[in-house]
Amino acid sequence: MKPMAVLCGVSRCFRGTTAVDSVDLVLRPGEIVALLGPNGAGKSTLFDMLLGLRNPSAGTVSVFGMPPTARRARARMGAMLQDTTGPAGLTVGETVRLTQRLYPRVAPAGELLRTVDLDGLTGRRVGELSGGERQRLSLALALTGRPDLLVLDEPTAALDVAGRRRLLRAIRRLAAQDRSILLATHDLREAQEVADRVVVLHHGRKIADGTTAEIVGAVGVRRVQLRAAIRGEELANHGGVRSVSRTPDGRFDLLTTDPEGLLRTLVTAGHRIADLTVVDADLESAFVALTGEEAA
Amino acid sequence: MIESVPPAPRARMPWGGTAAVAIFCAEWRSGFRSGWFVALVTMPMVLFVLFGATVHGHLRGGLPVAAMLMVSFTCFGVVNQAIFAVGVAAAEQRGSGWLRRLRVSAMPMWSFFGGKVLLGFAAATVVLAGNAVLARCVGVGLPLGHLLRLWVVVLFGVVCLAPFGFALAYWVRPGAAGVIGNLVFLPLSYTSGFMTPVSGLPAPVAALSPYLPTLHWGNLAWAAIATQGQAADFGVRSPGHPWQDVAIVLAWALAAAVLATLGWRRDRDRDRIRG
Repeated sequence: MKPMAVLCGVSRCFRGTTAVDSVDLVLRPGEIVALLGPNGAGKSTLFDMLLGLRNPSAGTVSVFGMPPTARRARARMGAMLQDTTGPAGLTVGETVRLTQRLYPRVAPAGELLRTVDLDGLTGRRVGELSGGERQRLSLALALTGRPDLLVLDEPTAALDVAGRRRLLRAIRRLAAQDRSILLATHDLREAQEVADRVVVLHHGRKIADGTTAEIVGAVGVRRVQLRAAIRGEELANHGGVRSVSRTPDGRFDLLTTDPEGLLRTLVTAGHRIADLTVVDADLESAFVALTGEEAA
Repeated sequence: MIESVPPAPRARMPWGGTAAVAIFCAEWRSGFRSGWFVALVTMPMVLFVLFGATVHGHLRGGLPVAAMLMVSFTCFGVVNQAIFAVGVAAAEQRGSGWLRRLRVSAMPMWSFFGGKVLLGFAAATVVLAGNAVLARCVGVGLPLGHLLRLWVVVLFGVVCLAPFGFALAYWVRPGAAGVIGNLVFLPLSYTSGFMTPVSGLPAPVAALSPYLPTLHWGNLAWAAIATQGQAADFGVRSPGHPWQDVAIVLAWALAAAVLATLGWRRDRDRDRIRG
């Protein structure tokens, strides 16, 4: 399938610091891609370059075969950005209608507001909306131009559980209509739940790109939880252990590529092991193993 | 080379002017609801009533002094709009992220600037019309031709002063825009003779006046209703021919537009690392 957007060797430097370092990314129709990474990984900077808000220091960005700053490209993109609210004095309905005037093909205002569950707040002023309602309005504005490419920056932040579920359902519906969706999220469960493909950024570099199963399989870690009279540093020194932390009940929580070897070593050394569980890793485990950082 | 998706069926891109009108309507509505815009528009009228409408006296040829003061306070209102309705408001919209959202939309950015200028046109027209009506109420009527000439000069002022507002919007931190706006507006209006004729200003202040674009634009406004002699009686200091005033205003407007463009680019390319 021909891609919607292609980022080729894209880099962005700020005063000697490299925020994004030679990232390649392809977005295809009908695909939901989750962009993961710790704070400062370069996600938002990458978004800015994809949307034409910032020029790359190196590499190229092409959206529908055009630069992202081209008006025709922007007419087919929708962006849900953080901290972008409309004029406080306008109502929800007026803000949507204003945005409709900016695009060549638009979705009806009623349909948009129903999609984001704001149809009961059409007359409410933007300045009086709650954080979650502003988030939903931001999504409605992103969908106004019937975009073929949708870019969502932490779309479920500030949403409650029901709102989050509604939004994820809406995202799946859009992907089923052959739209391409790129979403940045700190919520790994959400990424695992909705994304067809996951891209992991760390210190500006792309360190993983594939389905959840591919990434977890490539990292090859498993999660071992146990109780033992041993210092965490000793466990961390074992070859294969990628991270050591504690569970809420006080057990060690380890990600390791060699659980059998670890257990053999502990038993051989005479350590008593209790409350042992060994499970396959999930995306969160793989993320921690790849980045060495807990997801925010 | 990877080919991109074929373009969607060609839907006609809306004309940027449509977007500019939409921006104007939204700003007008939002501004009035917020109240601050009403204050901006009515303040020049209130000031005229308090300090201008009841001033007696006539200039040579029978032109009432109050008529010239009506022009002064109208000019005050136009500069007020350029600094606050254009500049400070745009700075706040920059801070709220609204301009960022508009940049990723299909709207060309000139539509936003155009919408702001339309807002300036509308507000300045309301100020002029309001002051003209108030002047007539106190027996200071102006011929329609003079008022129309003045209106053209006022619209010219809106166009030329808007770049100063945009420069303010893009060079000043959004949180400081209101304070900076006041620091710019009040001395500018005072030194240009919009609160008291230039001839009545302290000498050091009056010495600065010829260097200000607002003074030269004010000269054009006063000249719309007064002869050169009447303007001189009022205390207007003109370089001579009105085209000199026009040239100076345009030169300043061009400089402000360059500054605004540089500020816009600086904001766009701001070296700010975002996660």
